[in-house]
Amino acid sequence: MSENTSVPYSLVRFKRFFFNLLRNKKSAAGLTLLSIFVFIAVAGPLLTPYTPLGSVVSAQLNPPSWIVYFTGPLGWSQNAEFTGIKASSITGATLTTTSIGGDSASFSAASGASGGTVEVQKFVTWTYPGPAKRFVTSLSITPGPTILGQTVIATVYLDRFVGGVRDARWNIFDKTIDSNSTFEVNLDSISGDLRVRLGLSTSNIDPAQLIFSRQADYAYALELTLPPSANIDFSLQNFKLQIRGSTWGWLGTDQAGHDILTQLIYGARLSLIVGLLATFIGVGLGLVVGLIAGYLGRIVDEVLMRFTDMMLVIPGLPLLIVLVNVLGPSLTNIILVLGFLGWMGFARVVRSQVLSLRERPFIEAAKASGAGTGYITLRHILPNVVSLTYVNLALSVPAAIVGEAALSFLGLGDQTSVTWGRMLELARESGGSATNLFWWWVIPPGIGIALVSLSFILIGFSLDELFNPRLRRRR
Amino acid sequence: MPVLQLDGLTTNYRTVRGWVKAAEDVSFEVEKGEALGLVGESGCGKTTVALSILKILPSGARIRHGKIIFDGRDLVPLSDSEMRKIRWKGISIVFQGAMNALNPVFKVGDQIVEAIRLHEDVSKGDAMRRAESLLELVGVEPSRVNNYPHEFSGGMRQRALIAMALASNPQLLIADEPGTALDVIVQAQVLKLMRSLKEKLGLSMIMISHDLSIVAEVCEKVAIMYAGHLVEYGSIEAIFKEPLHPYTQGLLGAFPGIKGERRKLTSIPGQPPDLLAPPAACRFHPRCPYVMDICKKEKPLLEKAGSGDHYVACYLY
Amino acid sequence: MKRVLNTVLLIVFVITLNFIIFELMPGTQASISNLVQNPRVFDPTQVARLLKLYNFCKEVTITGPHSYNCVPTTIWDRFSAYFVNMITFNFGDSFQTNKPVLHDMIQTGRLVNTLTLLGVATTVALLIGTLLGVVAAAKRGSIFDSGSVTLSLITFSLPTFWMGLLFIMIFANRLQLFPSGGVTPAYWAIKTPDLLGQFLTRVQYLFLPALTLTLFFYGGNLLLTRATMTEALSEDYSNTGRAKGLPERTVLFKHALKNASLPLVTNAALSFGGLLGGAIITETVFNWDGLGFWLFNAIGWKDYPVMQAMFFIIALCVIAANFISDIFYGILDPRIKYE
Ligand SMILES: Nc1ncnc2c1ncn2[C@@H]1O[C@H](COP(=O)(O)OP(=O)(O)O)[C@@H](O)[C@H]1O
Ligand SMILES: [Mg+2]
Repeated sequence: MSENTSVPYSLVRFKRFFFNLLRNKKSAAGLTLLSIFVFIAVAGPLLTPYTPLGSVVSAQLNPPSWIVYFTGPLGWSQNAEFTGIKASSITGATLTTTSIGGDSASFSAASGASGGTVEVQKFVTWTYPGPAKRFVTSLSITPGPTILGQTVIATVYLDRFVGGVRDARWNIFDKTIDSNSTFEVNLDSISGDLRVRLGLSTSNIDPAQLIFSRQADYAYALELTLPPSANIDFSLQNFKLQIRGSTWGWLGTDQAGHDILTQLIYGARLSLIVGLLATFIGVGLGLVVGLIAGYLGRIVDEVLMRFTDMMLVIPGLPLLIVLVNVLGPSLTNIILVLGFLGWMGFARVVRSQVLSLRERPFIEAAKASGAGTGYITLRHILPNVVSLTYVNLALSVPAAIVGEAALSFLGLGDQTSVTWGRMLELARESGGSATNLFWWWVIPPGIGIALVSLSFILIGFSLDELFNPRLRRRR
Repeated sequence: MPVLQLDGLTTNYRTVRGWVKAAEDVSFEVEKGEALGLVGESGCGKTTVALSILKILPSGARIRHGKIIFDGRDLVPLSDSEMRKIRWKGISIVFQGAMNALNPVFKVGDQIVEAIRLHEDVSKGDAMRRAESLLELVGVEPSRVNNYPHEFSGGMRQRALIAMALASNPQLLIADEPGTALDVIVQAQVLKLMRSLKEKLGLSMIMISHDLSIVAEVCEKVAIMYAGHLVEYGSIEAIFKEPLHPYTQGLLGAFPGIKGERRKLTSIPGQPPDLLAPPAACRFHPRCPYVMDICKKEKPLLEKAGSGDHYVACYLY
Repeated sequence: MKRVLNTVLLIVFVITLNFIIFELMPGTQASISNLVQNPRVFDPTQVARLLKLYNFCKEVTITGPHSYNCVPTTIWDRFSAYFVNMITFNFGDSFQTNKPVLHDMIQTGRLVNTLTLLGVATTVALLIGTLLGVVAAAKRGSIFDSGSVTLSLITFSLPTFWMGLLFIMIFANRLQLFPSGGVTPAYWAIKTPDLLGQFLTRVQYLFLPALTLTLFFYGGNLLLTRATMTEALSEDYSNTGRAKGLPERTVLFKHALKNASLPLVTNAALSFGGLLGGAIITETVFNWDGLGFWLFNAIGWKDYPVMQAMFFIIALCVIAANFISDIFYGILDPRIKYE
C-alpha cells in the first residue's frame, strides 16, 4: 500500500495501460515485433561488421549459404582465404627471414653464382563441392636498395596439390623489378587481363571457377628469381588472396557483392526514422490545425477545414512525386514532404472531437470561470484528444514507411542512403530487366516493410479498441 | 389449445468472454385472441425471447434448450426454409418505431408490398393497394406509401410498422416496445391503436415493454422477467392486486399506477446483473430485501401461488 | 449548385498549387537558371522552350551561343497565362519527344492502357471486396471471417510494388505463365495475330498488373464493407427483413447492402487518388505503358510539362470521382436532397 502512494499516479496509469496492451493478443504481437525492429535499428552497427554499400563481402549476386539445404550441396561454395604464410628458398639461394606472419614477411635473399629463386606461399584447402566464383588478390612488394642496378623477376602463381603433389600451376602475374620503390599487385579474377592470360577470354568462365574447381589443396605463391650473386632485402605486405564462393551468409549479396543482411539492418534504421519523423510532423500539424479549427470555430474553422478538404482531394502519390522531384530527393526532404502531406485526416478527426468536447459541461464551467482560450485548449481539450493521437501515430507510420519505399522505388529516394525501398529499387534496376530478379534480394526488404507496417497496424487497432469503448463492447 | 406455448426456452449468446445467459428456462402460453405482456428492465432478455420465437437470432446466439410450440408444432428443430413460411404469416413482429425498424433507403409502401408478395402470389398493383388500405387501417394517409421512412414522424413510422406486421394476417403478433422513445401522447395513441386492432381482428399478441403500466392497457396476462428468468406470471388483475415477487413489487413501486394515481416512486436499489456471470440460484437475490439462504443455493421454480391464475418463482410463498 | 461551386474552387486550387510548386519552388528556379547559365548544357531552343513554358519572359531573343535577351514578366502575367493553359489542356511539348503532351498521352494509347488496367482492377476489387466483406460480416467470428480479415490486413500492409515484383518472380520468371512486363509483345510490331489471338495475349499481359492492383485495392474495400455491413446487420431493419421471412440472401444483399453501400461510395471516391497512386507504381513495376509509367519516365527526364499535366489530370480525375460519388450518394440515400 505504502509503495503505491510513493509511485506517481501517471506512472501507475501508464503501467496499467501498458499491461492492458500486453494482455491483448494483437497488440502484444505488434509490440513484440516492433521491439525487435527497434532493437535492430538501434543496435545496427553492432550486429554487422560491414557497411551497407562500402564492404564487398563476397562475389556478386550470391544466394544465401543455407540454400544448400534446399538444393543439395552440389555446385555451391563459400568464401575461403589463404593462410599460413611461409617463405623458403627453392634453388640456389639462401633465405634469412627477419619476420614473417599474417599477411606480411620480411627477409633477405642471397643468391649463388648461378642465381636463385625464393618463394613465399600461403595455403588453403578447398573443401567445397562447387567451384569458386571469383578471387581477388593483393600484394605489395618493397625491395631493399641493394636491388638497384639488378633485376628480379616476380611471378605470382596459383598451385594445386593433389595428395601432396603439385598437379597444376597457373601463372597469374609476372613482372621484372629493378627499383626499390613499392609496387602493388592487385588482381581480380573478373578482369579481362587475367582471363586473356589464362586463355579464357572467349568463354564466360571466371578464372576462379577454372582454378578452384576441385577439392584439393591450393597455394598462392610469389616467386622471386634473383640474378647471380645478389643479396637483396624484401618486405611483403598485404599478401592476401580471397576466394569468393558462390553463396554468402544469411541473405546473400547484391550486384556488387555487398551484404544484403547489412543493408537490411541499416534499412530498418532509416525506414523507422523516416516513418516516425514524418508521422510526428504529420500528427503534430494535424493536432494544431484540428485544435485551432475546432476551438476557434467560425471563420477560422471554415477556412482551415476548406483547405483541409482540398488537400484531402489532391492525390497523394503524384503530389509527393512532384514535390520531392522539385525539392530534390534528400532524406530530409522526403521526411518533410511525407509529414506535410500526412496531416489532413487527423486534423478532421481532432476537430470533430474538439467540437464535441466544447459542448461538455466541464469546458463550459472552465469558460465561465474566466479561463482563457489557450488555457482551456491546453489544459482541458488537449488531454482529451491524446488517445486519438496515439492511435493516429500508430496508424500513420506504416503509410509513411510505404510512402518512402514507393518514392525510392520510383527512383526518387535519397541516392546516398539505403532504405528498404532503395534496396528494392536497386534490386530491380540492377537486373536491367524484370527477368533478372533475385529472390534473396527482393524478398527481405518487402518482408521488413510488411512486418513493420503490420506491427504498427496491430498496435494502432488495439489502441483504438482500448480507447474506443464502442468497439470494445462490440467485441 | 394455445396459439403459442414456450416450454423452458433457454437462449444464450456466445461472446469472446463466454456465454451471455440472456433467457433461461422461460415458459408461458398465449391463448387465441389473448394478449400477453412481457415485462422487465432493459437488458433482461425480452427481445431475446421474441427473436427466439421467430428464430431470427444473431449468429452468435443459440437456443440451447426448450420448445417453442406454435400451432401445435415445435419450431426449434425446423429448418430456416420451413421457418420462413411461418414468419409473418404465422407470427409477425413490430419493432420499436423510433429506431431503424423500417429500412431508410426503401419506400414505406415497397417495404409493405415486399412482405405481402413474399407470402402470397399477388400482383404488384394489388399488393400496393393492400398496403394503402393497411396504412389506412392504422390511421396513416394511404398516399404516403410513396414516402421514405425519414419523411414520416416517429408515430407514423410506428403505425406503418404495425400495418406491415398485419400484411399477411398473422396468427400471432409480437410487439417489441411499441411506442417507446416516442412522446407520451403519441405513445398513448399507438397503444390505443394496438388495443383496437386486437379487438377488431381478434389478434393473439405478445407485447413487450419495460413498463408494466403500458402492458396493462392492452394485455390480459403478464409475465415478469428478471435477468433472463421469468419470476412471476399471471393475469394482469392478479399481479396488480397482489404482486408477489419482490421484483414485481419493486417494479410496481417504480412506475406510475395504472389508473393514473401516482404511487410513491421507489426504485429498486442495486444494479441489474451482468448476464455473462449472473448470480447463482435466484438471480434477484443480491438486490432482494427479503433474501434468505436458500435463495443463493437453489433456483426457485415458477409455482402456483396466491389467488387465481398466478405463478411466482420465489421462496417467500 | 454548392457542389459545382466547390468543384470549381477545387480545380482553381489544384492549378494554383501546381503553379506554386513548379514556379516558386527553389528546385524549379534552380534547374531553369542552371539550364540557362551553365554553358555546357546551354541549348538555346531548350531554354527558349522553358522560358516560354514558364512564361518567364515576354520575349526571348537569343543573342549568341551563351547569351540571350529577356523581357521579364510579372508573376501575375505568368499565373494567368498558366491558368489559361491548364484549363484549355494546353500543356506544352514533352521534353522527351518534343510533341504536345496531350498527343503523347492519347495518341500513343497510354490513356487507354491506363483505363483498361484501372477499369479491370477496380471492378474486380470492388466486386470481390464487397462480396467477401458481406459474407464476412454475415458470418462474423467464423473462420472465413477471420481468414479474410487477416488476408486483407496482409495485402493492406504489403507494399504494392513488392507484391508486383514477387508476382514477376514467381509467375513470370519461374513458372513462365505470364510475361514479366509490357502491354503487348514486341513482335506485334511486325506481325499482328488475329483478333482472338490478340485478345488472349492482351489478357495474358494484363493479368499480373491487374492482379497486383486488385490486391492493393480489395483489402480496404473488404474491411470497410465488413464494418458497415456489421453495422447495418445489427440495425432493426435487418431483423424486420428476416422476420418477414425474407431469405438471408435478400436481407444481406438488398436491405443491408444498400445501406452499407453509402459509406462505400464515399470511400471509393476518396480512395480513388490512392488507387491512381497504386496504378503509377504497378505500371512502373510491369512496364505497363500507361500514364503512370509515363509519369515515372518523366521523373527521370525532368520532363516538367508531362509531370505538370499528369498531376493536373490525376487531380481532375479525383475531383470528378468525388463529384460523381456525391451525386451517387444522393441517388442511393433518399435522406439527402440537393437543391
Ligand atoms: N448479439 C448479442 N451478443 C451478445 N449479447 C447480447 C446480444 N444481444 C443481446 N445481448 C445481451 O443479452 C441480454 C438481453 O438482451 P435483450 O434481449 O436485448 O434485452 P431486452 O430486450 O430485455 O432489453 C443483454 O444483457 C444483452 O447485453
Ligand atoms: Mg429489447
